[in-house]
Amino acid sequence: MTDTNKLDQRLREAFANEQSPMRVRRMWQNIETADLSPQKTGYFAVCNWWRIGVIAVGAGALIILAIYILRSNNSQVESGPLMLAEGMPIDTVLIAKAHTKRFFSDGSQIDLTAGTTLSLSENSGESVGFAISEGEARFNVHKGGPRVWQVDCRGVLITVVGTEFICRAEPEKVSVSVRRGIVMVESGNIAAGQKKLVAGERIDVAMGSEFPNRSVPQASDRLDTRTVESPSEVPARRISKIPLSSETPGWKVRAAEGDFNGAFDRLGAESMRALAGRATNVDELFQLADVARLSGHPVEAIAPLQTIVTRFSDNARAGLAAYTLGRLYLEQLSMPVEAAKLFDQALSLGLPEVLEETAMMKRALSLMKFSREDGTHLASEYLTRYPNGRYRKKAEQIVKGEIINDVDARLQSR
Amino acid sequence: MKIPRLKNNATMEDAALVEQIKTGNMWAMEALYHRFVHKITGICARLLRNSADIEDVVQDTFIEAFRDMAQLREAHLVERWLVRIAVHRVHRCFRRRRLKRALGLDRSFDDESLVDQIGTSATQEARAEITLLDSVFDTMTITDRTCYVLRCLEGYRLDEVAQITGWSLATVKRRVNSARQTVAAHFLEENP
Repeated sequence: MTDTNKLDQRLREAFANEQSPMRVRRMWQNIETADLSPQKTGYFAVCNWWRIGVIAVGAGALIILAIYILRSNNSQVESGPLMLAEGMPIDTVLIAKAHTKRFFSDGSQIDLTAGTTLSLSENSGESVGFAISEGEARFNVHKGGPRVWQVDCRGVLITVVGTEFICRAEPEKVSVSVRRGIVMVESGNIAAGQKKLVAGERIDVAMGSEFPNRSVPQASDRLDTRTVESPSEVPARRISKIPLSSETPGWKVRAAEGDFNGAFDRLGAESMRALAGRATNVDELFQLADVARLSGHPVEAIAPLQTIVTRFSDNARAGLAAYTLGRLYLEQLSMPVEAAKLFDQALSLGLPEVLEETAMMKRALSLMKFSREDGTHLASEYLTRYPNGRYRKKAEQIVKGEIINDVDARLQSR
Repeated sequence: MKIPRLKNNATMEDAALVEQIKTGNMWAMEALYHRFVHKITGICARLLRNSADIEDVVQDTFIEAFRDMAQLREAHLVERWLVRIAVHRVHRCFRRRRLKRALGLDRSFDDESLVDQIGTSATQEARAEITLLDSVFDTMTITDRTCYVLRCLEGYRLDEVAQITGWSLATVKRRVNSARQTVAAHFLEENP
């Protein structure tokens, strides 16, 4: 090795390769509050009508061709019972012990959280039926059919053709929220017996009577500040105690090396909840939550974060845990009411200033899903507190009634 | 809580994260951020040596990357893409500084010199060499400094440096040699 190369190596090795955790976290907090939606750049930023016209005509022709091809494909494919993607028959009864995915031959997919029981009630060339008695399932039904999907969730019947929705069965109610497409929800406990839901909408059907949308917990001081019961706690009670050693060092070692996938594999979903219940300090709980989130299992982060909020509410970082949990409920689970409660709790427990503003805005947007009045009230509160804040324009639009729900907000932010 | 540095493992993991980010998955964005933040911050720190500028450039780099992720064709090269964005933003920062200096408005100073970036286990000799490198960087053009940092301190190949900076391979070679000669001359003066 030449002298120059030796010098390069010495200099290279002298530098620290890790940044301080505080700096890393601070920079991320600034990044996540920025507008990360795709920006129009370059060619498409230039208003050139004739180019747009040519592109539109070409795109139209391609779309027509694609529709023609898809329609002719659909007419030939997928007659007979629905199968799994691998060609195997569908499980008649499936009890998910961990987060489970099923892929089907028509391109549809079901995601089941741990503890969910899913049974097949019907399967023909024209329709397929499932029943959920407990747990939560996300259905992503392939657009274009050919089958009608029906999901019976403890007596609440959901009919879909090409859509994505989440159905959750709880002891007191059944929740259905739609991510894409349209579903029809039928139940004797719904006024008029049925309700059509479009993307961004949700209904809670109580086992006794329908949850009226307006009885959702109110804004700020009117918000019910009781601790939100995590849905993941329900399956946890049904899981028998797993004999663990006093520490599971393998996952910590992997996490310390940055191998979060490996750390999560060592833990497994059930061990995650058990460890969260037994953890004695906030650091370990945050570490568990990071392993879950950064390995692509955000739902598994609920238990450790919820534990921080409930058992360590005096800790300086409890507010941060509540904020992270609120984001998880809003962005991953489409549960805006619980999200709003958690953002409220985070603000009460205390947040860094840069997150405080964002938490106030997210709280307003969460409640906009259910109660325009409450969402507007919170948006006004935000404007009072931050008259020149980052989200001033969005908050003003809510107060003026230009944004009806968070779908409008997302569309208008593009 | 110590935030462990994510190892940059198989490119398949990078590609999988990129695909998730393209669907708007915030958690994938955070995972990618944690994976590369140390490297990007290190490169920016070696070049800028000002803590506020460093953090601004790192944040802007990731924000731009997440916004433009749909344009990234080769997902397994996301690291190089991030470095490319960071280097371009560093140069933009230097152009702003030059303009401010010309207008007499530049009040910034280097509050995070190379010495402040040394690891805790570095020897006294290493500290002395880094201190010398700090003063050498003061005499170097930003283009030579960029090539030196990427090639000699970060270990990128010449063709990779060319891709990152957008300069021709010949230009990169010339600038690396120029930087190395400058460094060597100063070190030879100190170590006859």
